[in-house]
Amino acid sequence: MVVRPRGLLIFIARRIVLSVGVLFGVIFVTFFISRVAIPDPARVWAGPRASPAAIAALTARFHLADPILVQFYYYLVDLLHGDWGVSPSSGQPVFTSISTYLPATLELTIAAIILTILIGIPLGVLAATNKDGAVDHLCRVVSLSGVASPPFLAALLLQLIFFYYLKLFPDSGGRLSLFVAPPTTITGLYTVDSILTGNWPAFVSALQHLILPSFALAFLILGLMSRLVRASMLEALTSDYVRTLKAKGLTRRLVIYKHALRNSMTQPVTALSLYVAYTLGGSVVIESIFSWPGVGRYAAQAAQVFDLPAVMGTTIVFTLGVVFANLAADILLAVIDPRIRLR
Amino acid sequence: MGISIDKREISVILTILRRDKLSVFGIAVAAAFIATSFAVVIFGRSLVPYDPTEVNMMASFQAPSLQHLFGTDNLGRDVFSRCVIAAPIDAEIGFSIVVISVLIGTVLGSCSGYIGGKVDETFMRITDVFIAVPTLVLAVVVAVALGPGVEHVIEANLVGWWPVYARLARAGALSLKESQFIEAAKVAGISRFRIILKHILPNNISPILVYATLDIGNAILYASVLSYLGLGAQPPQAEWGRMVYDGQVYLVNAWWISIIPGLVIFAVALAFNLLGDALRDAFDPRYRK
Amino acid sequence: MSQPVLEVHDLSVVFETFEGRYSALNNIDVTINPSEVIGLVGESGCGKSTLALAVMGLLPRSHAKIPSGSITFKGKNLLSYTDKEMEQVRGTDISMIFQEPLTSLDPLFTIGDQLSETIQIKLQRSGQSVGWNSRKVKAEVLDWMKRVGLADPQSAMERYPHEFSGGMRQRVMIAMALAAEPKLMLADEPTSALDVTTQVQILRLVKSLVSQVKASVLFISHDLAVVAQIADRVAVMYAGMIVEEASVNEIFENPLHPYTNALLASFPKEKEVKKTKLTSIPGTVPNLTRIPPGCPFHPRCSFVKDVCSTTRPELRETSAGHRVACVLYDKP
Repeated sequence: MVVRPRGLLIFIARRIVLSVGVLFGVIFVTFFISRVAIPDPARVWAGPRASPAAIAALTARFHLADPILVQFYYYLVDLLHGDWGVSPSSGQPVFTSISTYLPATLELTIAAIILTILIGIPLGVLAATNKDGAVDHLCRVVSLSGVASPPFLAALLLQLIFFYYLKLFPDSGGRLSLFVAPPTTITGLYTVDSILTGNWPAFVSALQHLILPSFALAFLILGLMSRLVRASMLEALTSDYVRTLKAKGLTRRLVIYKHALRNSMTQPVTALSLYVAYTLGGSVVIESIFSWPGVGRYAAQAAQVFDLPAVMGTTIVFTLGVVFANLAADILLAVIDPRIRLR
Repeated sequence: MGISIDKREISVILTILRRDKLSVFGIAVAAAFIATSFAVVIFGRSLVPYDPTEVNMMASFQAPSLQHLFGTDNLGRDVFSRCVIAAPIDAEIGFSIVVISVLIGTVLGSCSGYIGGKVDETFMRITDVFIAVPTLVLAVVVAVALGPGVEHVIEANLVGWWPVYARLARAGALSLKESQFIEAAKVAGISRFRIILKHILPNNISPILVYATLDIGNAILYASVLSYLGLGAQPPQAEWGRMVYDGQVYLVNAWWISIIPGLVIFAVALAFNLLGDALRDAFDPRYRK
Repeated sequence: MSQPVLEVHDLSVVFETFEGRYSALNNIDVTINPSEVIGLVGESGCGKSTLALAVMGLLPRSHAKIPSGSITFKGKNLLSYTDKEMEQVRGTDISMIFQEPLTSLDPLFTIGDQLSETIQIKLQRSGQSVGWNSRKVKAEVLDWMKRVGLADPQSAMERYPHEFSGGMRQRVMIAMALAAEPKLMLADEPTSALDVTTQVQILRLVKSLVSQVKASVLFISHDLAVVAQIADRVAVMYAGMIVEEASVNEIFENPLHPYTNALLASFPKEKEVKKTKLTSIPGTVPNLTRIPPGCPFHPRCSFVKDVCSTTRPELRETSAGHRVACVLYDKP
């Protein structure tokens, strides 16, 4: 398979430009919400018991008395300098907190996506090739349950069954058992770092703690993925080119796994960025329940006390994540499908 | 593709809906949910066996039994009664979000798609922005900004919800734009607005209807998550998501306090999903056997 | 006379759809001899594609049933073959090309890769196990691309189907169908999606390649003019039945069946193009779930008699190599 470099690079460049534009838009929306939608931001941020001096200080600091566009300019400057405000509830700068919690969320999200791919794709393929069979029905059950489940239900049920009844997994929350020290930080992902440093006990502990929450998170989108793969496969299997492939004398196996599968990956890859969005959203609940010290839990705790700067910071980070995922999906798509590169 | 609905189609759809067992379940539960919500609004407290707000420490932590179908919570309140009483809140939130998003999104999307050109381009970029933010996170941030309360939950979700319908409507408008009878209408000199109103919108209904039905389940899920996080309905008002959160602490010893409201949410969301699925199959010409 | 390549005998195919059951093929008999090109002509929906798909074993199993008949190839009845056995037959013994080459080629693989697959299968089945990307395979691919007239074959190999025109894609399909040197190639309306000039080129290409490879062809088309350029014999189909069969010259000089006559009248002969209006045959092809009793053509026939609405005429030989299914020619 030949990938012609020039077409691909131009494609990537265009997508990056678009992504920056979208990011810009999102930042503006969050800015708008925090400044304009609330009548008196300074008072809200200072807290209910703040002195007039504190409120005045805030007003000056954030240029709240200036016209909107000026405010937006300073807002952008602050953002780019890593000044995302201070969280009233924790007293910590938002940017620092989020950076601390980010690796945990990354690890969880990546694990969930990997699970989704590893389980969802085979499930969808088998459902399509054995249409109306047992696997097909299983696929439907899984997808319906996943789509209709409130995120906390799956998480709580998993905890109940695996922690308390079956006692299969260690029952301390968080990413590691209490007596295990975290591995040396390279990526911030405990599982990866412990492998890289050969730290076996840390790896086992990290993995044990990772499984349930990532499965709970993956459950939400597993079904969607398998259904999509199933639908794409079915479409591919009834297409004209599959008819030609059969006429050429290719074995059923080759037709399905070499050709039909690749052709049915277009929609799932496109949807993957959507699933990343769902996953990030779901992490807010899942991380809370499993005491996973990530950005999602940070956001949940902040939301409880109506801490706007913290939640806004989370929004920006998560949106960045979705934009990256979109970009990655588009690039992957261009590699898989040569027709995309021409657009 | 947009297909307009006529009487014959409706009977075909109903036949198909009746045939699939799961969709019957979906219709039944969805109908029960809506009926219960209305009943609660009309009859209030008298509908349920126990007072949903009455604290009775003697009766606390009772497992589900014939007396208390869903058991009692940490304050001795009957979980079943609380679940029933909480129904209209999520019904209101769910339906409001979807209905208003459909209205706003469909109108804006149809216009944008039909008008095309720079207007359409700009509109697409705008929807891109909203779709780029995970919907839940967007809803949370807006709800936090606006403060507690059910109306704020609805508004918060609307922000992230309408773009999807706008996209759907736009796609439909784009494909209808090229069709014969639209050409004829244009030639006849009918104004753009009338074309959109009388021809594009009605023909777009079925995919939007299908998606909206599925979406009500989603909306209820989001409403419950926001309540779980402490936004939206505030205690002592009973709300399913809130009940799950309050009952979490007691998960090991009294699982029913949090799990059962969670299951109720699941059942209702599932029902609307099944309903939406069945509708989609009913509208799809390939499935009509 | 040597053994025929393909003998279809008394073949019937029934489809079950949500609109009802319908007979796509009714007791069809077709014989194809070595190095012979048979043109199968008829309006759309008459069952010609169904016949080809039945030979290939590619009819959708869920709603196509074969209640009677046999398809004899190399002395065996293909209908009795298992899936795996049919897989072995396809591509190397019998191959097929289709009408719409864009959707008929896998969009994600280069045409070089897709041709390599065919060559690899051919080599594997003749006992040599080769890698898909081996030099031997690549050499043959290149060779075939030149034979079907693709310009600049070296760089064309690295291109994808959507980068080519319809005519070029069809050439690729033809290469794929003939590279394994099958005994029989089924061509289902291969030129119908092409413009007239390309049509002529493709027809010439098929004719020359097929005689090089010594294959027989079942050439399906709704267009008698196209068939005339390539076929040795012509079979005319209507509503799942063969109504007339003769050599190509006989069909044009001495058409017997009213339907054949109508078909010939409805396309302009070269010299009279400017003068003749296109006359289409009155009426429409019957809905195959409701084929009228008796002769399926009788509602549209200008020579219809009473007996036509009750008895189905049988295919009978009127002169050497010319068969007709019409009551007009039944000897008393």
